[in-house]
Amino acid sequence: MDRDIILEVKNLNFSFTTYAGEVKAVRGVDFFLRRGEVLGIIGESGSGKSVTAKSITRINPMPPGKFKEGKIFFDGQDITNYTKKQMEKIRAKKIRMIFQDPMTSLNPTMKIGEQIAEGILKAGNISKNEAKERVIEILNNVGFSNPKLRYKEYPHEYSGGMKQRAMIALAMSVNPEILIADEPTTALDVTTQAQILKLIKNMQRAYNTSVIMITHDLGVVANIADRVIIMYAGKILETGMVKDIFFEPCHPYTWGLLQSIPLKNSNKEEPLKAIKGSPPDLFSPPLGCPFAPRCRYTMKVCIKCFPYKRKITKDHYFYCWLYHEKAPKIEDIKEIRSFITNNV
Amino acid sequence: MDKIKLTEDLFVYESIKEEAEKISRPSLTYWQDAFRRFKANKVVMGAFILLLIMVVLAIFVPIFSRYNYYQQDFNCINKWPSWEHFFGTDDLGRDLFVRCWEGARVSLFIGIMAAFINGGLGIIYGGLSGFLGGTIDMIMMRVVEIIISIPQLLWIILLMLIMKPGIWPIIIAISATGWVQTARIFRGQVLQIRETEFVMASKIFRASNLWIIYKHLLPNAISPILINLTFVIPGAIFAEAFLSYIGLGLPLPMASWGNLAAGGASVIFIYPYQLFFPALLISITMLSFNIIGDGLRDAFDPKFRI
Amino acid sequence: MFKGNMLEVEDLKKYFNVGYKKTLKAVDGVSFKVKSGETLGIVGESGCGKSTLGRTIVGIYELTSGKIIFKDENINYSNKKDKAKIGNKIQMIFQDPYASLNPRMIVGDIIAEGWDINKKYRGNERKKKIVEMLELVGLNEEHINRFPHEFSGGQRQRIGIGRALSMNPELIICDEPISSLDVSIQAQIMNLLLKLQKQFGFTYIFISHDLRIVKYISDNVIVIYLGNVMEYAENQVIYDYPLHPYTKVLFSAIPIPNPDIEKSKKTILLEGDIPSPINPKPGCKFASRCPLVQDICTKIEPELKERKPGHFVACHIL
Repeated sequence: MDRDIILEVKNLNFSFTTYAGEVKAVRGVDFFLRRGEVLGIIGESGSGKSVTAKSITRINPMPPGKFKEGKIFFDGQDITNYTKKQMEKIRAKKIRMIFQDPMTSLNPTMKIGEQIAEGILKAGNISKNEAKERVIEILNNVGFSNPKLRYKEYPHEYSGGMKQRAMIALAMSVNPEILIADEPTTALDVTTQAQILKLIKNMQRAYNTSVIMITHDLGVVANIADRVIIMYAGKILETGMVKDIFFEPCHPYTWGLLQSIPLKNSNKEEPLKAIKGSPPDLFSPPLGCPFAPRCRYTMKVCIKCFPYKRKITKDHYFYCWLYHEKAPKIEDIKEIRSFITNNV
Repeated sequence: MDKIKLTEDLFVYESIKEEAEKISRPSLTYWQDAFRRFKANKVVMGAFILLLIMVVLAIFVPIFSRYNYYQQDFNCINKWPSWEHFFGTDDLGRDLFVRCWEGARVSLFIGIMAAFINGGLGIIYGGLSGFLGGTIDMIMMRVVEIIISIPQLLWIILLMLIMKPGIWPIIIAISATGWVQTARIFRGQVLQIRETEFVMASKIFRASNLWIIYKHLLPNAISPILINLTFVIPGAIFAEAFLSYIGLGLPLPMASWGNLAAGGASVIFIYPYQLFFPALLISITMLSFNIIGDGLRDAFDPKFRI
Repeated sequence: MFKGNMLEVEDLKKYFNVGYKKTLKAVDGVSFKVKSGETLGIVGESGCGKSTLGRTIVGIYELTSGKIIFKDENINYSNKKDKAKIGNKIQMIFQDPYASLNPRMIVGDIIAEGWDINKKYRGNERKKKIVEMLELVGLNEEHINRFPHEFSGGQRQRIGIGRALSMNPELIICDEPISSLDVSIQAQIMNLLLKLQKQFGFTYIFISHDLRIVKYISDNVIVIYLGNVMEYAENQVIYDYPLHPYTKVLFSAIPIPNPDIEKSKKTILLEGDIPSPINPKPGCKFASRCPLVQDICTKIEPELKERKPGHFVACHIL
């Protein structure tokens, strides 16, 4: 095993049982996370990105969730079958999560400083006073100008952006190895988002944390990620270093995503290149490629069978039949790519 | 994963004829969906069936029984339960089985009527208060608070002291102050729904207030009211029983669960069956309504609907 | 087709009373003009009052002071005659596709609500019209008897658009119509809105916090902060040559989907958070966070002045 890799997920399959049947939220997902890197997971609603992240720390409600198959390796250890207690320890110190809504992590009835201190005390052997000092230090690091005062305040006294910072402080206070951020800036204003993204980057550099950033915003990914995974309907369609994805995308879904953003100099005279249709129903996910109903280049084989993996480099690979030797040549691949790169 | 043979003919373009906007699942109204969830809960369905059985017995036993509820027979005083008299007889030789089910008619009638009036008054009052808002709402709510400050049982007793005993006086006494709870719930719903965007859209179409109430407020606010009313019924049955215990209930020879239980309580150590059966029926009914109320609450509140 | 200014707003103010001596100044003096057939983009962050502005223009909220002039005629929504004159010519498309449709009404009734309230069509004709409207927005006849919860976000938004179009409006206020939708669906809805504008000549007021989308669709753009207009110019001009410090900060904060640009750009970061619109301090609203703030900014509110032809800015510094 590559010592560089801190997290590895193999063939993750996760479903939810509902009154109408089984919802196959994640269907065979493989990926890894290197030490110190920022991995971006892009996906729209129903792609399974949140469920995947929550499966790592096992915080999906089970039932109705069901971990059907797969293995998760953290720092070389197989944590798939860890007991509840063992997972609690991991969530306390090693793998931390932050969410879109900071109130999922913050207790409204406790002072912010005390909450963070509680986490630090749980994770290690230090005295109460030392914990308090650490909290003030980290409140300072996340950008609060008066950390001693902020320590004594309650969440409702904080604004939205401040709560987000507090959540980041809470997550980073124990110096975790992995930080999983599930759409942390989606609900924030653009200016606040810029602040928070910068903060996450700074924290990541300072503590050498590995970060998984889940989002649907391609701009956020371009800003913060080193490597990118693109998920759709419970499967990974393409993954690569951030430059690969933005400048040499291979999968038609990736093209679709990049093309549907208004370009630098476009105006309303030219319609946006929208992807037709909607994401599929996960009750009966198709056998073949889930993107087939919406793809411009669908072939018979796409409907029958999910594509084999195709590698461009060690880090850049995707799942698509278009590049198979038997497939017809796509005339405009180069055109599409240059159109994207010149206009983004 | 099955490996298929990758033949040339597979690599041919084929657009999927499937409609992009097709909906495959069957259409379920809100009520159908809630009912489906309700049905799935076995305990709740059990309680529901139990209640149905009780209603059926209440309707048919007094019709088909060979005894009347007021028929006295001095040869069979205070007899224990037997094949002749399933629930035994009381101190005037009246068959307790038929009296219990006659009492069921009365108690259930009181409960359901109280719920109707309670619901009607509550919806109108709470709806007006919430919809009109402002000072009117403030005044109306202060009135409600004053009413609530006195315990409902006390109100009921006071009203019964003024009125002559009878079914309708009891119903009136129970509903006279019971509606305030319903009013508060409905007002809360109205306030919430008033601010939704679909009501705003209606206002942009210059909809009248009546339109908004009828089309938007009522259909969306009704479920908490229904749940509340299923809890009103057992409350009313209990209140009637309580009134009988303190002598303000229905006069004999009328039968109600309340006065049957009160009568049985006075001879509990000698003829315990005379209290046991009415008390059992009251308990089963109250429990069933409470379970159904909980079931309705779960059915109307989908937590994990995909 | 009406030529001229479809809508003119003069010094519009909307205040809310939120407690003893506490006034929430959601819209605090906004003025602009929209020409018939054009799209005005209103850009701002949360709490800036753009939604309140939209709702005041359409009559959901009663304005506190100022003028709304529709097709050269002053409208007073509290006046019945004025209200009748406007009829249904100004319509709105809402942000949340999950809250803007009554969950207990079937789609057919939702689309036909305008007609039903005004007693317009009946029976077969009504059904025909509903199908027409559904097809216009990319849905079809089989959807008439379905309920909102059976549709995806994008489809619900289409239903909302169909409803807004049903009474043949002239001015449509789009209040963040695509913010709650997936990226791949946003483009579909944008295309639909533009197609309809080309077909029917609607005038749009497009409210959003997404600068890229606003840039794509607008002819003119207003930047709002805490209830005041900070800058107002033609689309291309405001994006290429922003003048107001807030506009510059706002534009630099948008993440661009290009890792080379994004990772190397120097974003101007603001300190702190957006202050409360309750009992705001005197002077320029942006003074508390402006990197170029000076003494006068905290005392006197800057007027919206035309700095270059067609380019208005409210700032003392320039």
